Amino acid sequence: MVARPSDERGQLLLIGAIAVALVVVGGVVLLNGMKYTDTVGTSGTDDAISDSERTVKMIESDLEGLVERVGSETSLRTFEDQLRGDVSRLSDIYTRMATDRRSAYVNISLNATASGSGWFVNQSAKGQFEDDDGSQRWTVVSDATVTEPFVVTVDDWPQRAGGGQVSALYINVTGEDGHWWSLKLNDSDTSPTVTKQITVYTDQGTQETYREGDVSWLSDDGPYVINISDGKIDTNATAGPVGELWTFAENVTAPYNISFRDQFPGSGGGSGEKSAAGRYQIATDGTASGAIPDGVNTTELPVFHPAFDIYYHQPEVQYTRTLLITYHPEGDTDD
Amino acid sequence: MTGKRGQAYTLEGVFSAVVVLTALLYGLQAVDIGPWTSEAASETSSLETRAQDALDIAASEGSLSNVTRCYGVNPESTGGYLFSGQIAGPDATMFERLLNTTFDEQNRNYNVYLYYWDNETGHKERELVSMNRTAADSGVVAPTDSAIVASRTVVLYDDMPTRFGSDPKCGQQGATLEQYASKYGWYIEDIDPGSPVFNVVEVRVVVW
Repeated sequence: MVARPSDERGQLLLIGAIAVALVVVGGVVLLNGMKYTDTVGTSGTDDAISDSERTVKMIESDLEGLVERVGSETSLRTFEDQLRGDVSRLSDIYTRMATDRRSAYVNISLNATASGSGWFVNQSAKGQFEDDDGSQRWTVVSDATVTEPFVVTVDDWPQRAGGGQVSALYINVTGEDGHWWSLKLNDSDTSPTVTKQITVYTDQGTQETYREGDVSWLSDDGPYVINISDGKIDTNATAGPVGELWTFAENVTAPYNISFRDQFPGSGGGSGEKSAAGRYQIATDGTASGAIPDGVNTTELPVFHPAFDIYYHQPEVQYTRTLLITYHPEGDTDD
Repeated sequence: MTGKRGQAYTLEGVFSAVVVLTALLYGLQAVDIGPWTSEAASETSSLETRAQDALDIAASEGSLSNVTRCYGVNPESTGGYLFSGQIAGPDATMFERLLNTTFDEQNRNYNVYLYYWDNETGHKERELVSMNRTAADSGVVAPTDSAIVASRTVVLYDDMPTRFGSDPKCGQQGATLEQYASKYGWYIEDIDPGSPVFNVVEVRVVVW
């Protein structure tokens, strides 16, 4: 006698089939989600990211041009305020132009906290190149990477002291790696004729020497406006700045220190004995010495190398970036 | 076996079929149908990349800025357009040559628009400055549905020189933008006289 399959067994098979189908559905949902994310789901976001990166790149090159121009139109003291205003207006126009094109928002703002600070040191009245204690050898600026402008105006050329002792003014730049660069201003000891001369040294030896008899612009009584950072000299004897006579801080690796050495072995009482005297202006992203004399105007500049926050927002993506621009002030240093 | 039990089996069978079909349909969504369709989509994407790259290159080497500063009061005097999109010759601007090489030689049509910012209206002011050489004699050609748009913003500064000249086109430098705008009312507007920024221009290329 053959046993007939029961109804319960058939039902069990069907329920089993449904369970298998549910597992298949679950697997398909999972795989579909993964595949969708990989192919379709992210393409919109990819486009948006690419768009935002491109926009930020455009803004970056525009900001470099703006910083350079704002710097040339303002002094170091008003640089930050002027830049902040100009960037705000540029940001406004950028936002409106971007909105016109697509659903996007762009904001650019100056980030003073992230900006690189600097100092402006200005001895505007004629004085010695000494620190506040009268030390003749001292560091004026430390840890600098950009020093522009760096102008020394020599009113009194160092004249050699009695007994043929050399009197000279050294402007030294010493790098972190030990390499150094130096400018020496002195009277030559080619007795009996005493002539003014400027010598450029590095740790490799003498690079250039300019003597009064060889170059006409040194045969003047001064003052001598020496643009150290540009390698130029302007005197009454020249129609305009003469240069480029040297490369500032050649072979010196930043950060570097800038020091003065006012070598004057005489008493000042002898005939013709004179220590160097003059004025100087130094704008730098380094740190100004605490030993700068009280009579020298020292101003901290919160924004020397400006940093900008760029915020880009599209429905698919938000992009924030802080951009630091290295600024080379070059000229205007008026108080 | 009763009739009621048979109906239950049927319902379960239908339910199972629905579940399996749903799974199948949902799963098919993930299948990449790209190879079965035309290459239009990938071509569009590639064209867009090429257009963007062309603008980026022109911007980085300065020719895009030169073109935006080569602004004339009477575009008709140069054949209706600032540059007429002729085959790159000795008098062509760098930007023209780039467009010729990138699009004309690939048998692509394009229009170039410059949008200068206008303070008075608070909107961009559009100038059609170019089209490709095949359409240069037949007037403005409307882009097709598959056209792509690439754009690039150029900031003009007060101290930049104006550009003019016909041989080569836009090859000579004139007074600065600031000087020119203060002298001639029809010229591009200085949108911020207190700032070094003169105007912000969007260069848009529509290619199809």
